[in-house]
Amino acid sequence: MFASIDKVKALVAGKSPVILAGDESLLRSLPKGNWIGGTIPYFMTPEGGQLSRTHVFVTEVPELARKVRVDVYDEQTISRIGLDSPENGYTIVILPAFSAVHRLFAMEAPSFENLFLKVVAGWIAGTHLDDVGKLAPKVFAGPAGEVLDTKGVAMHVELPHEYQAKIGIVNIFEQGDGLDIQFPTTGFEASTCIVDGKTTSIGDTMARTPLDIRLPLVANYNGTKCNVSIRSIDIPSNKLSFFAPVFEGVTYRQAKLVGDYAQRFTTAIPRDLGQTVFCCNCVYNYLYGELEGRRTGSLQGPMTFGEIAYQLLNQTFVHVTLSKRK
Amino acid sequence: MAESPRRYDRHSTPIALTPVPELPLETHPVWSRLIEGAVSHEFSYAAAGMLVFNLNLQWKRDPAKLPLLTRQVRTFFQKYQHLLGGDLQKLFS
Repeated sequence: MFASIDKVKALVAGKSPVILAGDESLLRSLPKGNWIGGTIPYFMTPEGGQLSRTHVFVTEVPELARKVRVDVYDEQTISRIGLDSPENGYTIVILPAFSAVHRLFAMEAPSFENLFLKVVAGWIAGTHLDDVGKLAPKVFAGPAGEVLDTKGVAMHVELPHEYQAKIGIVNIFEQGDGLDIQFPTTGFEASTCIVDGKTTSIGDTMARTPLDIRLPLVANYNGTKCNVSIRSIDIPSNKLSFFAPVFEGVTYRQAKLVGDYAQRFTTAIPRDLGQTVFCCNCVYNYLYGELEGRRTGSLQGPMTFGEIAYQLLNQTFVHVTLSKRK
Repeated sequence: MAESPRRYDRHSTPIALTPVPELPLETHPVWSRLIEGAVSHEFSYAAAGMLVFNLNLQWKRDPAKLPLLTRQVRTFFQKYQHLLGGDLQKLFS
């Protein structure tokens, strides 16, 4: 639901658990309550992509939820998230972009205990793109009224046995026909890469095959395409930086060009999802796909600085749906 | 506000259940071959593909962890067996 701040205040006062995305000043104006939130001014709304500092995106927790709990995580505790997530249910986690906890989650989440046994999704809070580097993205823990830029927040939602949650990933990108690229170390930056088994500088690689900053690097995780967005290409400094880490030993290839993003999403998002209890998309899809004012199917949510489906992804649409067990 | 359970029932999609044989024991060689990357398989369920891929990376860093990683992958398949019936049939047939 894309709602005015007055409507959100009424929802929070009603004590229903909600997950919020919006401008910092709006979220700061909310009372304590059973909610979590993160800053971002970009949204996919019923009217299409929107930049808004007046409205908040509300993700409601279904009434059938048995139990809801909010936890705050720092670099010492984030590795517990798979253990804390309910045995039957789902967890939505929001981390502030460029924080240490974001970085640690991005690098280490794939080896967190029980992470893949649970349903852990979420997003990376951000700012207006003009404010990157000027304002720190924030997350909010409603129960204690905390505003945090160095910690993450999660809402754990336990479901009755007859229902189960499932994460879906919609990636409109395909690996292109370019170079197979590996990186010698895991990280958000690289100055060398491995092409055809030979370690070369980023500058030499770019001279051979220039990378297009709009297109992610795509790796094939046994059938699941996982993207890493390029944050900057600095040839004089011989440095590539990314919005998610590249992992040592993983083979990446830059994505093929996508024509009409809105059309691709509309086609790619399954129509029979059941009840969707969470979704988010990437701000780079909003930006490079020119999604302002354009719809991408029936699902709505924040357009974020990173999407979490177990681990951190980029330029990807993530959703959590409920199904009834037979 | 949140949809009521009754309204949810109307929109819910029951999970497709594929009958599968009993899950092979942890000692079955396919589990370890999956971890080692010796079996190439594209999973129908995103979490399975991501997990197996990540376990393979962990095994490459520390091959001694194979028994632990094998246990992890089987535990995952046990929990989500109802979503992975087709994959299990291909892997173990």
